[in-house]
Amino acid sequence: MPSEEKPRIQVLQGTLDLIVLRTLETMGPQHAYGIAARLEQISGDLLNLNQGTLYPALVRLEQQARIKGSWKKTESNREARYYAITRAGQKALAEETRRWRRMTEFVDKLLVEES
Amino acid sequence: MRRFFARLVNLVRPGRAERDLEREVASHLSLIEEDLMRRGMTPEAARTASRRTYGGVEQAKELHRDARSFVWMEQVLQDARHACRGLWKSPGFVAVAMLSLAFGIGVNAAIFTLVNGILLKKLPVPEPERVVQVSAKLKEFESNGFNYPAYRALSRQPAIFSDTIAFSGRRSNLELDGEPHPIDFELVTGGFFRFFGARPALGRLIDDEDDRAEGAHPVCVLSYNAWQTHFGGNPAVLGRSIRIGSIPLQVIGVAAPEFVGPELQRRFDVWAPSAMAGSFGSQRENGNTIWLHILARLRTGIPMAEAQARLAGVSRAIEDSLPPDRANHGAVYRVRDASKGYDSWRSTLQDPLYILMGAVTLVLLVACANLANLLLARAGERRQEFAIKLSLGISRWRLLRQLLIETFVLAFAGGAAALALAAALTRVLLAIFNSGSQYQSLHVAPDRSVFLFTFAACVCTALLAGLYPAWQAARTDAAAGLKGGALQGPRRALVRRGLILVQVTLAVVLLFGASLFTHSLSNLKVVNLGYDIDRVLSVAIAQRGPVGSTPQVIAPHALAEVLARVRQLPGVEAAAFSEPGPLTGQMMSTDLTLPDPSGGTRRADNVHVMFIGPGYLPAMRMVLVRGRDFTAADGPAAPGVAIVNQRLASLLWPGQDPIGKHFPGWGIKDLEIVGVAGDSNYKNVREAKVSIFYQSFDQSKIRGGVLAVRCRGAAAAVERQVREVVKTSAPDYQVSNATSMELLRDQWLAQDRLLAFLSTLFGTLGTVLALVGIYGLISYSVTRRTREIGIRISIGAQRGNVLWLFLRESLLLIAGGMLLGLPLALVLARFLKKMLFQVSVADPLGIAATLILLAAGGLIASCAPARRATKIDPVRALRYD
Repeated sequence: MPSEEKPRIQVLQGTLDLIVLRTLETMGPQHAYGIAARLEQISGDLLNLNQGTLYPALVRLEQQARIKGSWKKTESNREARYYAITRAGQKALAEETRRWRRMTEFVDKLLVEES
Repeated sequence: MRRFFARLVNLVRPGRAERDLEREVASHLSLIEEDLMRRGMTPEAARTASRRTYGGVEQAKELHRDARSFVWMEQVLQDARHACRGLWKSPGFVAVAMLSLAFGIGVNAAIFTLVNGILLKKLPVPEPERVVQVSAKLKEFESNGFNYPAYRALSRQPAIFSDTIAFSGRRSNLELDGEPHPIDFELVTGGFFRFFGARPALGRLIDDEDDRAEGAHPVCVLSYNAWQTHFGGNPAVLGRSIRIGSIPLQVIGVAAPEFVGPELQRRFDVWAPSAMAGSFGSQRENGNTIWLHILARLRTGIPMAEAQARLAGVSRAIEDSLPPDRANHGAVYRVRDASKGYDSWRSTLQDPLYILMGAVTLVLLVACANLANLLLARAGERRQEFAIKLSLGISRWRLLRQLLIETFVLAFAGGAAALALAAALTRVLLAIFNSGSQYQSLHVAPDRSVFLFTFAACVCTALLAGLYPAWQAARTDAAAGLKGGALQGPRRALVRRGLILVQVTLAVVLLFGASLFTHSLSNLKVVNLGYDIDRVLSVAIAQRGPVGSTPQVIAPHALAEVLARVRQLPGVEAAAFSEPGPLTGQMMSTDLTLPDPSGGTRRADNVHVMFIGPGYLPAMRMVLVRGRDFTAADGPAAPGVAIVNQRLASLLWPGQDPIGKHFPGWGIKDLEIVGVAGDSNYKNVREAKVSIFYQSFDQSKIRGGVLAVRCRGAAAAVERQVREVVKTSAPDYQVSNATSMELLRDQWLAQDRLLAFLSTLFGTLGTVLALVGIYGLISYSVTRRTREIGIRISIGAQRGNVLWLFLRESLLLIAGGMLLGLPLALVLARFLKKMLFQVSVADPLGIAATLILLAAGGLIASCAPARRATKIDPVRALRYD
C-alpha cells in the first residue's frame, strides 16, 4: 500500500495561517477537524497534515484576533470549538494572499528562466 | 502586542488554557472517530485510527502550549517554584538572609518615604510650577511671616499674581462637652480653598464674603478627618456651633478627604476665616503683627525671574502704603518656587534627609554583602548538586538563571517584609520628630512611589548580591564537583573575606556618623542657656477681644494682679513676666549706634530686646554680674532703666563700667543702665550668645507677656491654676499658649533627636549585619577545617592555639576594615559639619567609641564559633569525611 501513495507535500512554513484563514473565509465557521478534513479533501490527500499541528496556528491566529473561537454543538450534537474569521482576519487574509501571489510569481519566473 | 498580552494572561492563568486544550483535543478526536465510523469502521478501529490521524496527542499539546505562552517565562516560574522548595529546606539560611534584606531594604523604604513625602511630591493642583511662596527681605533677614495689610497689598498685584492666599496655623483646643481636644487650627483668607480647587464633602467652604468684615462671620470648616474623629461623620454637624479655644464658631462645611492645603506634610483639623483673627490673639489690621504666610499663583506666562523683578519694582510702593508705625519698614518682597507646597520644613530637612538616604544606602550595601556571602557559602555546600545538574545536561545559563531566580525570590520576600517594617518605622520617626513640637506636626505617608522604590531596591539587591555567586556556581567543574564535597576554591574564599572587609568598612562609617550625631545631641541637651529651665512653665498671656479696640498699654493692672496671685500659689516657687519669652522663637531687635569717648562711634547691630519684670532674673536663675535688678519702683512714672548683658557691654563699652551709661531704647528715648546680666540664649538653643538689653516690663508698651513660672512640683497642676487665675483676674486676657520650657527647648532639637536616633539605628544595623557576616565566615571556616583541627589537636595543639587560629582571621579583617573605614568616615563627616553642634568632624571620642565597639563586637561574633573549634574531638574529626 505505502508504495502506491503519491509523495505528500509538507506545509510550507508560514503558509498554514493563510490556508486556515482562506478555509474559514470560504466555508464559514468551522471546527479544527472540519478544517483539517477540508484541507485533505481539497489537496486530494496531497497534504501531509498531522491534525494536531493545526493547533499552534489556531492559537496564534486567535491571539492575533484574526479568528475567534467559541464552543458550539455539531450536527451530531457533539461539542466542538468553532472558529470564525474576524474582520482583522479578512484584512490579514487579503494581505497574505497578495504576498503569496507575489512570492509564487517570483518563484515561477525564476523557475521558468532557469529551465 | 495583543498576542503578547494574550500570552501573559495564559501565563498567569495556565489552568484555564490547559483545560480548554484538553477539551478541544478530546472533541477533535471524537469528531474523527465519528467520521470514520460513519464510513463503516468499528468503534475500536476508529479510535486507533483517529489517534493516528491526529498525530501525537502529547506532542500536539506541547506545541499548543509553546504557541500560547512564553516558554522562558514558564520556565522562570517553574524555577521560582523550584527555588521556593529549595529555600524551604534551609530555614536557617532563609531566616538570616530575609532579616538582612528586610532591615536593609526596610530602612531604605522608610527614609525614602520621608524623602518622597517631603522633598519630591508636588502640590496636587494644576500647573504646580506657577505656585510661589512670598517672603520679605530686610537687610540680611528674610522673613516668611507677614502682617495682614502687607498681604492685602500683595494680593492686589494682578500684573504679577493671578491669585494670592494667606494662612496662619496654630495649635488649639476643640472643646466638646467641656473636654478640650488638641487640634491643629488654621486661619485662612477667603480665596484659600479656591486656590487649591478644593471641594466640600459636606456643606460649603470658606469664601471671600466670610473673610471680608472683621469678626462678622464666626464660621469654620472641618477637615474630613476631624469630622470623622470628633463628630463620628454625622452630617448634623452642619450649622452646629463648636468652640475652638473658647471661641464659638459655626460649622459651615467639611472639606473633602483628599484636601491637604498649602503644605503637603501638615494636616489641619479646622479652618476659620482670617477675619476672625482678633478672637485668636492676632490683630488683622495691625502692621506689627507678623502672623501670616503667603502663597501666590504667578500670572500665566510670567516666569519666576520676571515676577521677581516686577515684585522688586513695586516693593517700595507697597511698603509706603502700609501703616507707618511698623517696626520692619523698607522690606523688599521676593518669591520662590513652591510647586512642592509651602516650605516650612523642606529646606531645613533637605540636607539631613539626603544624609540619611546616604546612610541607608550604606546599610543596604552591608546587607547586600551579607547576602552575597551567605549565597557564596550556600553555593559552596551545593557544589555536588550543581555538578550533578551540569553532568545531566542542564545548561550553565539555565543553572545561573535558577540561582539568580532563587536570589530574586529571597529579595522579594525580604522586600515584602521591608515594606511592613518601613511603614512601622516611618510612624516611629514621625512620632519622634513631632514629640515636643507644639506648633507643627509633620505628616508623611507612603504611596505608590515608595512601593516602586522598594521594588527597584529589591531588584538591585538581588543583582548586586546574587550575580557573582550564581556566576561562580555556573562555572562549577562538573567532574571535580562530583568527586569532592563542599570544597571552597581559593578565589571564592578571597571574595568572601573581601566582602567582610567591605562590611566592616561601611560599619565603621555608619558607627562614626552615629557617634557624631549622638555627641552633638548630648551637647545640645547640656548647653548652658544662661538660665535654668528646670520645672519652668512658659505661659503666654495675650489680650482678647476684637482687633484694634485694645491699644498697647503700659503696666496693665490686670497682669500685675495675675502675677501677684500666681506668686501666691502654693506650687509656685517664683514667677515673673517677660516679653517676648525666651526660646519661643519670637524676637525684637534693633541696631544701636553710640558716640565713642574718642570722638567716633560704636555700633552694635541686631541687638535683641526683651522686657522683663522685677524678679525675672532670679526667677530664671540668671546671673546678675553687676548693679541691680529692676524693682517695683521702675514703673511707668520712673526714669527709664535698662540691664545689658555682658556681650553688649563688651561691644559698646569695652573696658568701661556700663552702669550709669545712657542709650536710646525700645520706645523710650533715654535709658540708664542699672545692671549687667550674664549672657544667655534668646530665640533658640543653637544660636551663639547674642547681645541683649532688657527694659523694665512695667515701663514698656505691651499687649501681653510671657509669664515664667518656676514650679515646686508637678507643672501640670500649676498650669491649670494659672489658667484659672488669668480667667478670674484678667478677663480681658487669655492664655494663648502654656508649655514647659523643656518642651520649648526640645522643639528646637527635633531634627537633632531624629538624626541621633536614626544614625544610631543605622549604625547598629550596619554593625550587626557585619558581625553576622564575621560569625558566618568563621563558623563556616571552622566546619570546613574540622579535619585539620582534629589533626592539629591530636598532634598536640593547645586549645588556645586553635582559638587563636580563628580569632586571628577575624581580627585581621576587622583591623583591615577599620584602616579603610576610618579615613572614609573622616572624609564623609565633612558633609555633616553643618548639622553638628560643638562637635569636631574628627571627634576623637567618636573615633574611639567606633573602634572599641567594633572590635568588641567582632571578638564576640568570632569567639562563639571559634570556641566550637576548640571542642572538636580529634578522633571523631578524623573519621569525619
